[in-house]
Amino acid sequence: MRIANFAAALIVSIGLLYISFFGAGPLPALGTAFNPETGAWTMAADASSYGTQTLHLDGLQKPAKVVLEANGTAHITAATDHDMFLAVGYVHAKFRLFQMDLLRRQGEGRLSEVVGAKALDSDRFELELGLLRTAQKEWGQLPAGDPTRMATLAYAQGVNDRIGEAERTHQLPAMFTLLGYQPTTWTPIDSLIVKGDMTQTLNFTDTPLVMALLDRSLGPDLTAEWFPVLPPNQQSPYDPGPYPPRTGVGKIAPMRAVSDGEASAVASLYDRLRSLPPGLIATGGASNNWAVAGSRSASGGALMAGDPHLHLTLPAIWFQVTLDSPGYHVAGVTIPGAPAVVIGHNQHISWSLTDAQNQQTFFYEEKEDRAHPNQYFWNGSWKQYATVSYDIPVLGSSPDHLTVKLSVHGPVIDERGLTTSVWWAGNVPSQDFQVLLRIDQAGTFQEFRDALRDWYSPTHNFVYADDQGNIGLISAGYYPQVAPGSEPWLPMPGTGEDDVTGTIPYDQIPQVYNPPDGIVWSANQRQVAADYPYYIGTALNFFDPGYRANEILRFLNDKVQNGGKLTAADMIALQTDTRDYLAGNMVPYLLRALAGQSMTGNDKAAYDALASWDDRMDKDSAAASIWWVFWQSYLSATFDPWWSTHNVKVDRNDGGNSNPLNDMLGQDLEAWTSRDPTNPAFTLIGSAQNADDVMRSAFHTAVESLTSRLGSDPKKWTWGRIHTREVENLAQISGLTYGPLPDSGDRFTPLAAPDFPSSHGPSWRMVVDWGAQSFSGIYPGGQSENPASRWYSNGVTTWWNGKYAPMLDLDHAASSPGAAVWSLQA
Amino acid sequence: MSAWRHFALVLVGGILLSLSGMFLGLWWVTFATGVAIGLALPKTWTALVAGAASGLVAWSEPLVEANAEYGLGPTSLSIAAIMGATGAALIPIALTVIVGVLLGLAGSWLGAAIRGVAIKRPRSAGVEKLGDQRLEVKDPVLTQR
Repeated sequence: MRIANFAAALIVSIGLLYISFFGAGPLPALGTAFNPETGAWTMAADASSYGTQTLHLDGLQKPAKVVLEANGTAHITAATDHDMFLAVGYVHAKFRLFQMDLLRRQGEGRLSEVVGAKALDSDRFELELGLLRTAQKEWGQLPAGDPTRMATLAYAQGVNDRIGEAERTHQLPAMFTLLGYQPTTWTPIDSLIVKGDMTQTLNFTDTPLVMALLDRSLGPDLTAEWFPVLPPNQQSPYDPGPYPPRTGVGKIAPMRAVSDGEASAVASLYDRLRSLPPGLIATGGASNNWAVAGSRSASGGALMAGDPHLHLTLPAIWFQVTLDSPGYHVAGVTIPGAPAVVIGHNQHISWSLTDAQNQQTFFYEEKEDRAHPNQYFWNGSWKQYATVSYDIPVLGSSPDHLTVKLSVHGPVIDERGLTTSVWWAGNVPSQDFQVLLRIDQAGTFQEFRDALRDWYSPTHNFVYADDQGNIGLISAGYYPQVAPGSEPWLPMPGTGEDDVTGTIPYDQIPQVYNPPDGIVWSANQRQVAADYPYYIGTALNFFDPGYRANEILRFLNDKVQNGGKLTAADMIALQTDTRDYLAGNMVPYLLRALAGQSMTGNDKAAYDALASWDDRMDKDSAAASIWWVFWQSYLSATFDPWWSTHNVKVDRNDGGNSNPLNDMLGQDLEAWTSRDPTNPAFTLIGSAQNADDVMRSAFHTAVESLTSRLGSDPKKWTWGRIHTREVENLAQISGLTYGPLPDSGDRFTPLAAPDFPSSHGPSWRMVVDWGAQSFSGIYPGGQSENPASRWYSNGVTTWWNGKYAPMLDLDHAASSPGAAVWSLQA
Repeated sequence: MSAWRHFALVLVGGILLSLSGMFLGLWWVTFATGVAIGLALPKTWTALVAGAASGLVAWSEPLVEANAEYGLGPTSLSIAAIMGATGAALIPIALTVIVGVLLGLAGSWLGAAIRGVAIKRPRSAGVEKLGDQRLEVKDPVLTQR
């Protein structure tokens, strides 16, 4: 009996200790996680640790200071540049350490180490793609004594100061405790990896694979017609030329036919890339920025507005700071993990950015032969693949061994059927921190432009405004060029003839400075007109359809007509504008097609709603729902038959969510509806012969769909019942997500809100009026990743309501109500 | 020493030891303390009570203190959300206390069981009346019956 008692006690104890030490299934290690002194409960102590205090940081050369506004904005003042960057690192880690660790792990292929084998596909892909190799090269290229090297090292020291402090005081972020691991030392490579993550999510694309699959199924002629280089609809390039002379851009015709074997290999790679977690492949872009010259503003100074659209998360991708040191006086937003202000203003200039969307990803099919194992044929001879091996640590399993083959084009990312390698501009080592730090210090357009000369990837539209009333826009970055006759929109032969040969000279990339009409704008649209002499990508790869850009231009032009002047309030109104430019173009055609038709009660009510609609996607608008569902039905009615009859393997139905294919086909449909209503594309649909027939049918389908989904009263079909927005918790914890809640906008409105629910949108809104010396900004989140903190999501409501917070300078911040001061000492 | 005094001494010592472990981040000290309590107290049920009590106090006191200092509401709600129990702020608190109690309880059970196995049963010892008098019997195993 005693033995049995002992055995039972032993078994229960072992079981309990095991769960307490290691966790089981979804349970975290209970002992570690729930320890009130060191476990998840320390969130409470952390959330209360923001008050005025003195902190001791290793490596600090002189005393420094951090003023925290009541909303969490951090103002860092230091006597040396080194100390300022060290303090930035410390503050980032204090508020965002877990986010920073996730970002570096993602790019370095080490997520499996902490979450197990479910992240292995992501890790393997990241190591194949090579962010880590690129970051190592970039670090190796920075000479000793380089200011950027000093900044990155000081930043890492600050991060490590905080890691050490958090470990000593048992205040590591709760997610470390719950996942059962501790952060390793931060290195400069980690910062470069964070930058690489952003580059990847913004411009690593798979569009040539999509084009190959379309070519194989729809045929090369139809693919070339429907997915052209130049957009078929009316767009508004900000740099209309004139351009320097060079060979013009050819149509994608005749496009070569993709073979069965090639299509099969491409399909497997396409499927692999599509199965990766969201964010690893860029599938579109949505950001706005514009500037107005002093001559056009009420204040007499230049105006500037910018709102980059990204995945909206808690914590946000941005962290707001003001930095003051002998070399820097700059305010704006940084990315946790990186030392520089990415978007902001200094004493003389302001800037923001949108993604430029030109093609920076090229796929190559390597020529191999069994007689030449581990070799590929290039430029007339057989070359040995270089290789690099990794052992990926996997939680709860043995390490996963990975060997990556490298050709001259880049890493081999698929060997099923064909060996495909990828040339990606993000793999070209570039000193982007150096560029950003030079921008942070720039005082004139010339200095700004000179700094951007060394910016490679991702290509961005950098908008500029300064205290002298000047404005500009430069789409800085690499524009890879291949030999004439090559087909970069498809996977290309890897034998050398189609290699990337260079980039467009910096002086010839899209750019404007003080244009005559006093306005510059970008919203991911194609920046240049049809006669621009270089290839920069197809309409599908991967420029925006241009509706936001058109609406921005329309709004600004309307305001300045008859000598009107623009104000900062106008900038704010435009950033939160819900007018759908496409609807403004298409609804008149729909109403004309429906005019004179006999309609049932709901059809008639829907028609009347559209007839009196102002094209605004407001959440309480029923017409907005009718328009949106109609447009989706119109796309389906036109293209579904083609997809079905031609067995197209590329999915374009995504529940109404953003899909580059639909955006491209939408441009076609818009163009045909207005200019070519009898296009043969309409002829596959039963008896329908033209756009009007299809629109009438699609309208009826839309009304039926809305009746079925939202009830029989069309007045209650409000957009907010269909369209919601949320700010997702970064760790995908639904209880820590804000929303979903009904919201206005769609993916074509300046107030971008794509998808259902929408979790992308304006990630940081900034408005600058140099004449009034007013700077304001807001992002949908908070400075702290700690969900128990008052700064976890304190900015969301302000942002949601279209309000802004003033970007205070240090003096005003220090005297603002609720401000706290951290005195930093060695 | 009376049995109750002995019990109280072990209990207080156990709580202090367990609390010290918690302050150092050594949560497993609660279990180890339980084992010690099980070894130190002659009766299984008293050991279990003391073990559970030491776990309860050691894991509750820091929560009470933190609540007084910072307020645990937002933290508890956050942990509940992470656990998938959005809005149920009491669940993390209850779970924390339960983990502490279980560790103390399991430790003391194991300690008492070790004691039961390790100390040989005397051949001729009879059952005596429970109470202070019996606690003075030199062979402590008797007190466990």
